[in-house]
Parts: sequence; C-alpha cells; structure tokens
Amino acid sequence: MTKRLASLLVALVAAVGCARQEPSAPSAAEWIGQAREAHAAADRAVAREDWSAARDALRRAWQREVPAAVGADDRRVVRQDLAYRLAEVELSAGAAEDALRWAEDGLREGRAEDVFTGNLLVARGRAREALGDDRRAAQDYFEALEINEALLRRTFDEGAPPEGP
Amino acid sequence: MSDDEPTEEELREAEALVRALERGSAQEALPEDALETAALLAYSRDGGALSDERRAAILDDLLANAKLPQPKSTRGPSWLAWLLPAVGVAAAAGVALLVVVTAERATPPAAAGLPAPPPALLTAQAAAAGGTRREAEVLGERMQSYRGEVYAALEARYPRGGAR
Repeated sequence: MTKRLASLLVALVAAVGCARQEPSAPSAAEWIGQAREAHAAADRAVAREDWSAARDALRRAWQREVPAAVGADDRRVVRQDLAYRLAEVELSAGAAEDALRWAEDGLREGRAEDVFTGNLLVARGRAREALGDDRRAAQDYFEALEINEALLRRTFDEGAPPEGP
Repeated sequence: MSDDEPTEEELREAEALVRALERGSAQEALPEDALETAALLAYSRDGGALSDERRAAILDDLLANAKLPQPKSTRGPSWLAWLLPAVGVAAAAGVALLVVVTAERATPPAAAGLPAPPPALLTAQAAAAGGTRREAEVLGERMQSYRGEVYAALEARYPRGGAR
C-alpha cells in the first residue's frame, strides 16, 4: 500500500514537472545559426547531386518559426535566400512547378532593391521559362535586371560599395 | 472709613459696570440691580441704538466666530474625488507596464549594415537573368561566398544568448 502511494506520488510529481516545462523558443542567434547550417548541409547535398537531401535541409529551415527579436528585413533576407535556394534545387531536380512555388513564396516575404529579391526574380523567370511561359519569364528577368542595374550603378557611380545587400 | 466713601468692593463693581457698559456684555459677576440701572441709563441716552462703530465691531465678531454654511461644491459628485485619482494611478501603472514589456522585448535591429554585394556577384546575377543553366550555377557559386559574409554580419547583430 505504502509502495503504491509512493509510486503514485512520484508519478504525480513527474507529471506536474513535465506540464510546467515550456518548450523554449529558439533565440534569434539560434534561428540564424540553424539557417546557416541548412545552407551548409544543402551545399554538401548539391555537391553530390542529392536534391532530396538539399531540399529537406532547406525546407526544415524555412518551416522554423522566426523569433520575434529578428528584424523584419533580416527575416526577409534570410527567408528569401532559403526560398531562392529551394527554387534552384527544384529546378536542378527538374521540378519547375515546385521551383515556381518556392520563388513566389520567397517574393511574398517582401520586395527590396537587393540581391535576394533579384535572385528570386531570376529563379521565377527560369521556372516560368521551363514551364513555357516565356512572356512572364521575360518580365521577371527584366525586373531582376532593373534591380541589378541599380545595385551596379550604386557600386560604380558612387565609387564605393552600395549600402546593404 | 466713613459711610460716604466707597468700599473697595463697591469700587471694583463700579469699574466692572463701566467696562460692561462700554463693551455691551458682562465678563464678570456684577450686581444685578446696578447692571439694570446702568442699562436703563444707557437706554435713556440713545434709546438702545447701536453706533456705526459698534455695529461694525459686532458684525466682525460674528463673521469671525460664526460657523458659516460651506457653499455647495460644483465640482461634481463625491465619488469622482476618489475615482479620478484611482483612474490616474491605474493609467500610470498601465504605461509603466507597457514600458517594461516593451523594454523586455528586444527591439528588432534595422537590416541596414549587411555587407554590400561584390561586383562579381552582380555581373553573375545579370548573366543568369535569361542566361544558360551554367550561368545560373555561377550565380549560385558566387552567392555561396557572399552568403557567408551576410550570415557573419547577422550573427554579429544577433549574438548568442541574446533576445528570443
């Protein structure tokens, strides 16, 4: 009887302890680190043309919740770069529709006159081209080149590196 | 001491009577018959009328000592007297809580300050727009090194052990 009571008490204490344990959200630094590791894993997988492994690593990073402490533009930069890479992996794997979806998901994160938005426009243009939508592919390339020209102009006209990506 | 000369007691009573007639009120015990006589004499002199100075003095005395009714407050119901400060204290507490909560949440840093893309990356991007598959791969390769710089900047901006 005493043994039973003791076991019950131990189980109760353990249950209360588990219930009180809150899952800890990743810090901004952890989230950044996880995204960086996903790129490194994708690099290794792409090198051996393992598109599935590359896709999985990048998609896990994409699905992670962004900590509130991450600035909106930093969030956009990180997620757009992940989406660009996912689109490129899908294009390499011959999955143009998936590539188009990833490029559009990335562009929904926002637009900026920077390399990351430009890359997504290039990737979307390539996906559309692969799907036979040449007209809209040309529009994407044109938009990408507008951004690219602005970045180059800042680089060369001002004689100094442009601010930001 | 002869009968014609006043006694000390009579002198004290006479002085008290004079003071009583001057002030209009008796401060100490006086012989009642003398007081009545003095009052009749004073009345026969001016019919009991009050002089202007005397009237002003009485009025001043009344105003100084009377418990006048307080004018009714026009500032609103009495419950407002405690409700308004209570609301003020609650509002101040709310503002303080907001400040504390806001301070606890890390302010997202601005995205500015990431490294500039090198010209080689930009030319690769221009070539990849409508270019061949190989040109797209070159863009990917150039991005790899630039990505390293961007992540190094982000890691410096969000150090380990920082806000969640």
